[in-house]
Formats: sequence, C-alpha cells, structure tokens
Amino acid sequence: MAHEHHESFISKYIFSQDHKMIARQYLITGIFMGFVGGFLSIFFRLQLGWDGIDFTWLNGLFGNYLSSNFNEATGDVSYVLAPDKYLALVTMHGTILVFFVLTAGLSGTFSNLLIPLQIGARDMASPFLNMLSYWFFFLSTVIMLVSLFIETGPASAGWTIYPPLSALPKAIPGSGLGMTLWLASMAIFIASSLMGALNYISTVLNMRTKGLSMKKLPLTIWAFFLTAILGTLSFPVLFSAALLLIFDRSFGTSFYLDGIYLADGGVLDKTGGSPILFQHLFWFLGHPEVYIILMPALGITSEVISTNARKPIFGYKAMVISLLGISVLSFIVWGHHMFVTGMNPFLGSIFMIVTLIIAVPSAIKTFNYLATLWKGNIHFTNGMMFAIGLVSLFISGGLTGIWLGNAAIDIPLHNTYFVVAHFHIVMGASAIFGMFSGVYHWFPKMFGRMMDKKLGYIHFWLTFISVYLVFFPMHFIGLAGVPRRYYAFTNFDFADDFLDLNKFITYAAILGFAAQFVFLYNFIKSAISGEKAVKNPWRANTLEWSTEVNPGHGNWVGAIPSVYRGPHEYSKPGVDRDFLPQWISEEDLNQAVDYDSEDHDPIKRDVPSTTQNEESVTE
Amino acid sequence: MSTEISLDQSQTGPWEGRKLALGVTYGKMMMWFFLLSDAFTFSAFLTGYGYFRFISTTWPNPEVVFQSVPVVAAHGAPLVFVGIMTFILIASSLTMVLAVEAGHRHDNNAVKKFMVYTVVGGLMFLSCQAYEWNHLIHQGLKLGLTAGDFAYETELAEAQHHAHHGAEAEEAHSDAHHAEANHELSAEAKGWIAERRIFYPVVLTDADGKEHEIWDANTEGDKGFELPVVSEPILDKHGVAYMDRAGNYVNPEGYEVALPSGETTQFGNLFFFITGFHGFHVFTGVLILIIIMINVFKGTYIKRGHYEMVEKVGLYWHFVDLVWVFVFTLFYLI
Repeated sequence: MAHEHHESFISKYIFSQDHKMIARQYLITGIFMGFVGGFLSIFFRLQLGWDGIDFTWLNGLFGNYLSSNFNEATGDVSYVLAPDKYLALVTMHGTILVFFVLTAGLSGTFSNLLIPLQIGARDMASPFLNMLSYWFFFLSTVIMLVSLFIETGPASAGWTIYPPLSALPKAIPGSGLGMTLWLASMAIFIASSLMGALNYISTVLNMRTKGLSMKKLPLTIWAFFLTAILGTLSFPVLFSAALLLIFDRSFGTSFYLDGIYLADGGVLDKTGGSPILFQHLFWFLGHPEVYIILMPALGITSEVISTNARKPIFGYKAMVISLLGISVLSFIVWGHHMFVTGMNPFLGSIFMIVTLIIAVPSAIKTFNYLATLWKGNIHFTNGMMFAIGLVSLFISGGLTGIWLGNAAIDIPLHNTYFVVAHFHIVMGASAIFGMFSGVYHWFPKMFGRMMDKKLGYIHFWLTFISVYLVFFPMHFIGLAGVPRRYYAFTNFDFADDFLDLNKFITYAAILGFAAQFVFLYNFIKSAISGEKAVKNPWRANTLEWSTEVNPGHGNWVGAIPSVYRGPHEYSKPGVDRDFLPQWISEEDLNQAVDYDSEDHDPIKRDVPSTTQNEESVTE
Repeated sequence: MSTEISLDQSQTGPWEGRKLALGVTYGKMMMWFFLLSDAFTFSAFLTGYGYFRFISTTWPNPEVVFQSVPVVAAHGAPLVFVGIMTFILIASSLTMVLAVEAGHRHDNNAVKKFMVYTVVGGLMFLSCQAYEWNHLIHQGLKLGLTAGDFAYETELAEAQHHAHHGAEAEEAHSDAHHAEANHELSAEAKGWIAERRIFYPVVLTDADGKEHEIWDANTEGDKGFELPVVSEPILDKHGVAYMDRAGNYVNPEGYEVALPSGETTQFGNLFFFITGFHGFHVFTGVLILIIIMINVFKGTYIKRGHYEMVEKVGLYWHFVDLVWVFVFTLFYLI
C-alpha cells in the first residue's frame, strides 16, 4: 500500500512524482517569484514617486539597473535608476507576475493538489510527466532570475515583447542577451505548461472515481480543466510567435521587421515584415492567458464561497456554462488589445461585440456569487475573506473592462494608467486574491496544519485596502491622459497635478508589499508549528477532505471512496447537519452518521474495502 | 508509480466515473491533445504565411521554383520531385497503419517489418528535403535576403553602366541618353538575373522609364519549360527573351537592373522556416519511431501484451503527414 512505500529524501522532496509534493513545489516557487515580482514593482514605484531618488542602497545587488550621478557641489556620488532599466523593471514585473506567479504558481499549485484529490484518483495520469513539468518550470524560473542580474539588464520590451524593440538585439541594452534569455526561459515555460495541461486534461477525463460524473465535478475541477484546455491551445501560438522572433533576431529573417529608421543613423536593411503580425499572434495567446490566470481563481472562489456560506453554489449549471462560454469567447476577442494598430473599423467592431459579450458569463458568475452569499450562514474564514475580496475586485475591474472593450473609448484610453488600473484589478489582484483564498483554504490539506487566523485577517485587510489605494487612483491619472511605461512625469506640465498622487500610490504599494510579509511569516510559521488540522476542518463536501490529514503517496488508505452526490450539498433540508459530503451514500444516511466526529469526517473508513471496484495500484 | 484502471462493467454511461471517458487510455489522450496543441503551432505559422501572401504584390511561381529532379532533369519537370517526396511520406503513413494493424493482431514480425518500412520512408523524405534545400540554396534562395543584397545589385548595374559608357556617359547622364545608348547586360548581370528571377521578380527599367518585372526567361538552360506566349518574344543578340509578370515578352536591351521592394523576400524566409519546422517534426518522428522499433525488436510489447506505443507514435506520424499536406498545398500548389 502507498504509505508503506519507502522513499529516499530526493525522491520524496525533490524529484517527487507525488502530485501533492509537486503542488507544494509549485506553490513555494510561485510565492518566491511573487516576492521577486513585487519587489521589482516597489523598485520602480519609488522612482515614479520621487523622480531621481537615490538608490545607493541597492547598488550592491542591483547595480546594473543604476546609473551614477556625480554631484559637483558636494562631491558625492549618488545612484539613480537608469531610464532604460525602468523598462526592464516593468517588463520583468509583468512577466514574472503573469507567467511565473499567476499561471504556474496558481494553476500549477491548485491543479496539481486538487485534481487527483477532488476527483478521487491516486495521482495524476502520468506522475513522471508531472514531475518533468515542474522541473521545466523550475529551469525557466532560474533562467528568468539569472537574466535579472546580467550586466546589460533583462528584457525591456514589456511583457508583451513587441517587436521591433524585442527583435533588434541592439535596440536598447535589454534587447540583447536579456531578451534572448527571456525567450529561452519562455520556451521552456511553454513546454512545462503543456506537459502540465496534458496531464490535467487526461486525468480529469479518465480518472474520476466511481459515480463522479462531469455533472458532479467540483467547480474548481471544471475551472482547472478548462484552463488546461485554454493553455493547450493558446500557449503553442506564443511559442510560434517567439520562434519567429528568434529567427528575426538571430537568423536574418524579417518576419516582424520592415525598413525602420535606426537611432544611430540609416535604415534597417531588413524589409517586408510586419510587427502587427506579432501582435496578432501574441494576443491570440495573450487574451486566453488572462482567463488562464483568472479561471482557476474563479473556481477556487466558487468552492470556498459555497463551503463557507454553507449553501449550495447558486446555479451550478450556469457556473459551468459560463466558464465554457468564457473559454470559447476568450479565443475570439484578442483584437481588442489592438484597436489602435490601424485595424479596419469593421473588424474592430466585431472584436468589440464579442468582447462585450464576455461580460454576460462574467456577470452570471458574479451574480451567482452574490446569490450564494445571500442569506447564507457565512463563516468568515481567511479563505472566505479573500474569496469575497475577489468578487469585489472582479466587479470593480470588470466594470472598467466594459469601458475598454469599446473601441471608441479604448482609443483615447489606450496605453494610459486607466488600462494599468483595469488589468491590475481584474486580473492581477483578483487572481492573487483567488490564490490566497486557495492557500488559506487548502493549507490544512497541504501541510496538515492550520494557518493563523488573526495574522490572516491582518494580511487580508492590509492587502485589500492597499490594492484599492494603489489602483483606484490610477483610473483618474489615466483618464487625464497620463501614459504608462514612462520613466518619470516630472518633465510634463499636464502630469504635474499627479506628482503627489504618485507619491501616495507608492506609499500604498509599499504598504501592500509589506503586508505580504505578514503572509510569509504566517505561512512559514504555520507550516512548521501551526495548530494541527483535523480531517475536515471546514466541514466541506468534496473528496479531498475524506483523506487522512496528511495523505500519503496514493492519497487514500484503502479503497478510493465512491461519489454519490454533487459537491455542494450544504444545508440540505432533511439532513440534521449543514453539510453532506460527496462520499456519503443514501445507505450511510439511513444509518446513524457521526457528523460530530472529532475530525468532521462522518464515516470511519479506515477498514480497507475489498470490493471489486478497487483499482490496482502498482508502485 | 503507475496507475491503472480496471473497468467496472456494472455501471452504465462512459461519463459516470471509473471509465475511459472518451474510450482511450490516458496516454493516447495526451497524444491527441498534444497534437491538437501542435496543430495550433503550425496554424500560427501557416496563418503568418497567409498574411504575407496576401500583403505581397508579387510571389514566385512554384512551377518555376520547383522544376528540377535530381539526376533526371535539371529543369522542366515542375512539381515532379515534390510529388515523389509526398508519395514517399504518404506511403510511410500507410506502412505505419499496417504496423498498428499488425500490432492489434499481435503479429510481432509484421510489426517489425512495417516499422522498418516506415523508418526508411521517413529517412527518404528527409534526404529528399535535404537535396531540395541544397538545390534551392545553390540557386540563390536564402533565409533573410536583406536590402543590403539589393544595394549590391544596384551597384552591379551602375558598374555596368559606367563600364559601357565611361566618363562621357556620366556627364551626359539623362533620360535621353538612355534612349540612345545601346545597353547590353553583361554576362554577370544576366547570370544574376537568371538566378534571382526564379524567386523574386527582377525589375528592369527600360529606356522609356517603364518598369518591367522579370520572372522568367526562355534561356538556353530552360528549354524544357514553357510559359504561355502572349506575344512573340523579342530576342536579344544572345537569343534571350524576358517575360514580365503579365506574361508579356519584353526587350532586354536598355535596362537597369534592380530587385523590387522587399516583401517578396518572404518566400525564402517562410519556405525555409516552415518546411524546416516540419522537417524537424519528421526528424523527431523518425527518432521516436526508431526507439519504438528497437522495443519491437526486443519484444517489449509482446511481454506487455499490447502495442499501444506503436499506436501512439503512429498518431504522431500521421499528424506530421497531415501537416505536410497543408505545407505542400501552400508552397507548391498555389
């Protein structure tokens, strides 16, 4: 049996094929990258708040980002952020947060943890491929981190790496080696994401336990499943775009380049290409990518809200159909990122219409969350707080999405801070809140201990308030026409009014970043010495809570439980308790079920079953 | 740890759990989804091809570009060689099917035989592609023709101009002069045109300042190849006639030589990139086929009791063939 299986340290903690360990590896890498990406944002927020602020204190570690200023009057040397390195910082902040934290860190963690546990499988379809997926991700992480410290700086063309800035190795310092490393890292990342997604899809389709039809799947699994399909279909197109870019950079082709004038004189000798082609290919990934980030967070929120409101999720079918709708629509709306590229207005209006249609499934989800909360017996656990926070942010950010989806409004607002505010709230902060919600909720399953609730509240309120303080004012800066990706706003009269507001935003950003250390402290402390968890601490219905507190490799001692009901049978009339787990059969109900058992698992199932349905596990 | 599923026959409906929902094992399902993913990669490239094809005002004629068969004919056999290549690849798909079918019958010897045929087919296709690339590169098609290449050719034309008319002509450099002068292209310039015009139209500016795009010529080397004759060709003293894109023969005398704008260079970029990417797939396919073939020879699948690995590599191989049909259509037929 699984728990008797002897494993060495390396096969248990490093090259582990156990999906739960791989999930923890993803989570810890993701948290680490989150702190790196967050630090980069503080770095450039300081510059935006106080133009030319002295960064001498960072000279030791980040000297390659600074240029020295010699003060003749005093004879002092100070170090300020070099303008082209400002671009490097925003590029790496975006890349790390979008791909390494919110794609791999969020989806990688929870898909790995929850898919086998919630569908009743011993492990992923291919544990080996799963392990490979993490180590490819780890390798890409290392390459991306290395690029932060090379002398010419990391990639600087924005996380969207538009050519020609990314296609001409000599355009700016970051376009050279930094860009090459970016492309290498992302190619490996895409391979990792593909291996992960293939596993998630085939596991969900083929390995559900007895009785668990697709109609009874928890919404988390639906979200991870559709996310994996989105990833499988959209990441290869980014790979194509990147490969063409690599050829333009290194092998003399001109897919994206056409006779542009160079700063050092002369016309580029490459002709016939089109940078717009890159934008089309990039955003064919780029838009589904938004939902690759958001959908796992929405799935987590669905489960957490239903569990903690002690109510069935309102409109399970509508939730699944809206996820499906979002998935399909996400592939045909990429043009709304490109309204200002000289797109034919007719085409623009088609992209506009399908973009606005996405508001329908999004609104269905939002209203269903609210309807689930309505008259619920709400338990304000940390996970629930963050889930409700997500709903709040999803509404705030979603409403500005309706603005930006309109070509006529998008054109003046394009590339302003309004856009920055929109996507940080709706995609960045929302998804981060979903991730936190998941961490707080499933921490007992991952580490067998509970997180500290008080520290969790402090973390939630500081984060929630600072997110709004940082991003809400950006709407007004953007509406006033202040563009994004500017090194400083001190040279423009029209932006003078916002100098103080920029300082304020920086203070708020520092507050938000500091709050994450509360989380980090809580995370480490609780993992080591937190209160011991019981089997089913949230009195939840889904299968992962039927395992031991610290499930071994193989997840269930004895037979895998069968599933008899949907995942959301909370507060069911006629049942004497407010939850009815999926693994309780009608026969169990007729017998006296011990809901008040110490670990909230109504059935003692420690007697290995010998029914013919048991699957063979070979180790 | 490998996880196997024993089917529970007592349940109904493939979607009720503990069932192979789509009727395939996870390995085959992963291969199907991988192929779906790879199809999107190729789609992106082929969409890029379409994009450039539509914005280009000129494009080489595949019947001119691909008209040689090694050993048999240097010219005048349009699409014959690629037809052979395609036939080999499709035939290897057929032997792959037969290998899979033999696997279902547990006929290890037959699987061995057809796997070998398939590997040989794949290697033959790759060799053909290597030959074709080599041939085209020798003809002057290359990845990333730049404006620098145009500049060189402009110089070439200028150099000829000077050679023919000396300092005198330079002083009296005017349109009128062009009309008078009896320009004649040097052998070097003709050679250059003969090479390039296969892939890119060469623009010759005639004495009246009218531009002609030269696509093909009825040169001595091109005897076996015919283009629709719109009017009688006017031969120069070497017996060379030039034909513009509309199919009109034009007089080569008194022309300045240049290549037109860079967009048409995309043919070379796209051809080498996309056929190269496909060739890389064939190459990896052959490698995987060889690994599986070794397993077949070792009897691994007899012990395992099924030939699913052969089936999975077969799926990949058919996919590569299917992609070739699109590549073939886009580059060679239209």
